[in-house]
Amino acid sequence: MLTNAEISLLGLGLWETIYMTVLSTLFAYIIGLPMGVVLVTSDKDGILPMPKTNKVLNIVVNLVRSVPFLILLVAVIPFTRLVVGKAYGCNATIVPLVIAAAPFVARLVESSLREIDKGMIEASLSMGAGPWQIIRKVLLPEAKPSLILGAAIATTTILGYSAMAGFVGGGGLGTIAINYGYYRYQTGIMLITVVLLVVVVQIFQEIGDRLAVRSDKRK
Amino acid sequence: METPIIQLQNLSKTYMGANEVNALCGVSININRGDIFGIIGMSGAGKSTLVRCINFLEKPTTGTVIIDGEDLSQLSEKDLRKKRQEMGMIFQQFNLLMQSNVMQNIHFPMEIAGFPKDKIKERTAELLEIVGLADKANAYPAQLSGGQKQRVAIARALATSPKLMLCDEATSALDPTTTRSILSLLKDINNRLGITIVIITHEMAVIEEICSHVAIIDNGLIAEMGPVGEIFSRPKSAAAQKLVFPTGKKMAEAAGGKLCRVVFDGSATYQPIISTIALEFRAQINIIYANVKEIEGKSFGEMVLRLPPDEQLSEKMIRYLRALDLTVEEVSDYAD
Ligand SMILES: Nc1ncnc2c1ncn2[C@@H]1O[C@H](COP(=O)(O)OP(=O)(O)OP(=O)(O)O)[C@@H](O)[C@H]1O
Ligand SMILES: [Mg+2]
Repeated sequence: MLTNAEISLLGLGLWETIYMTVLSTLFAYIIGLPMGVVLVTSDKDGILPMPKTNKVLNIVVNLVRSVPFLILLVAVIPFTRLVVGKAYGCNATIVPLVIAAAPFVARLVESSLREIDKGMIEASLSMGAGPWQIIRKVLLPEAKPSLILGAAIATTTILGYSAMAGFVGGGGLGTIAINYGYYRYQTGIMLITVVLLVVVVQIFQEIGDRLAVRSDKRK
Repeated sequence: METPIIQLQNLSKTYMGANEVNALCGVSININRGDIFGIIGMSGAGKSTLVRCINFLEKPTTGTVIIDGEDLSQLSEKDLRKKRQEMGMIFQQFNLLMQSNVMQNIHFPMEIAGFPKDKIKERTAELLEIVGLADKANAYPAQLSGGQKQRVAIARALATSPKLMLCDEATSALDPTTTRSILSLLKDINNRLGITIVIITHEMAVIEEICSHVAIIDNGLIAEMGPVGEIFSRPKSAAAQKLVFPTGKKMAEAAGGKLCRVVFDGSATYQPIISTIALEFRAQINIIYANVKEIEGKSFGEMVLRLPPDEQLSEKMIRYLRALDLTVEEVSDYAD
């Protein structure tokens, strides 16, 4: 069975993983949500057409999204050092996680907002609503269930990335799995980290699903 | 004479794209305060484009839209938004906020207009009363019937006390009974609040039921325009004749000569006319359809007759009927 030291190690790893995931998701939304909104509103059929902004934003999003996460992680090390002062550990991992996830979040938000019936936007325009009012009172509230589902996808994806970061000393369950399972052949510990990851993903997904269903007034 | 509340002058709209579409080609309409003005036409005729030009959701390619004396093209974005608050609009698909309940939906335009909170509450209660949905304040649109949804949309459109209301196929998604109740609500609103109403539809029945004036739009052009009673009894253009022709009856069935639509003062009955003809010409004519309709408070009789195959004889009959001061059109072309 597990020793006390192992249990507390796993506990710490679990905590670090959740800490990285939640904070990264939060920051990724702080950046990605406005990006997603602008992707929709600046479109040529959007409520505030800005073709140039739209094009640039699309290119940036595609560019970042096409860089594999591990490469991105290494590539931004100088920037990470600048922000958190070091290049390893949980806090350092949050930086590349946010950079990688923000464009992904932007796309999720974009697709949620595009699901909204054009008629509703037309009705708000006919009432004299401006772009900001439409974003705040129509786009975001109407897309809420879909946005919540998107957030669950984002969270679980970011959790997966955070485990990958463990390979390069990113902290959390990923680091434990690599240290024990790969370098020391303690398969048991590694399996436990895998189980813990699966359980955490399940929980996040379940919470997202339930919140989405509960918030949806379309029945 | 008072200036019309809506003046559309020579509106054209061309949609650019893979192939250009001329949705409107020089449309001029004046709509007077307090009118219920119908705009009718076939699918693709340009009705939605026209009504969307009235509140500048669509900017006309050329031409001028003057609402209550103000040329919309001269307004800044901000003033245009203010102006739109004077024009309510309702739609075929209702376009309610699905994640907001009835009350919140009605709050929405007033929040946009920056009404104070207590005013919003007070006005919402009033509006729910007007549309007869006081008991549904907390329901979500998904829990309402089509007719109820349209009532919410009407309440929402009235919230900022507009001077006019634009309805784009507002009853096309509703069954006949519900249609009638929505139309009578609109009529009531027009009567009580003096709001000018523009109704877009493809159904003549809607026009006959509540409109005072009608414009017939065909291929982006106004084919004919005037008081509903006049268009109904004396349609001049082919498009108008086609629209007023009672549809859904099996016209082609009974073999014989020409089909004619005859319109007369509804207080007279059609029996004497038919029997006089039968006596006068010693020939039979078939009544294929007959009805009496109330339009703008006046009743109109309407018949579709199948005349005998003999060309000369039927010509004579038509002349005879016209001499009796009845409107007679030959309608053989579009009996389907
Ligand atoms: N945004 C657009 N881009 C290109 N063409 C358009 C656009 N909107 C409408 N059209 C075209 O303009 C013409 C008139 O369309 P409009 O929607 O005004 O017709 P309508 O009379 O409202 O028809 P319906 O009864 O089917 O609603 C049609 O040929 C249509 O295809
Ligand atoms: Mg239309």
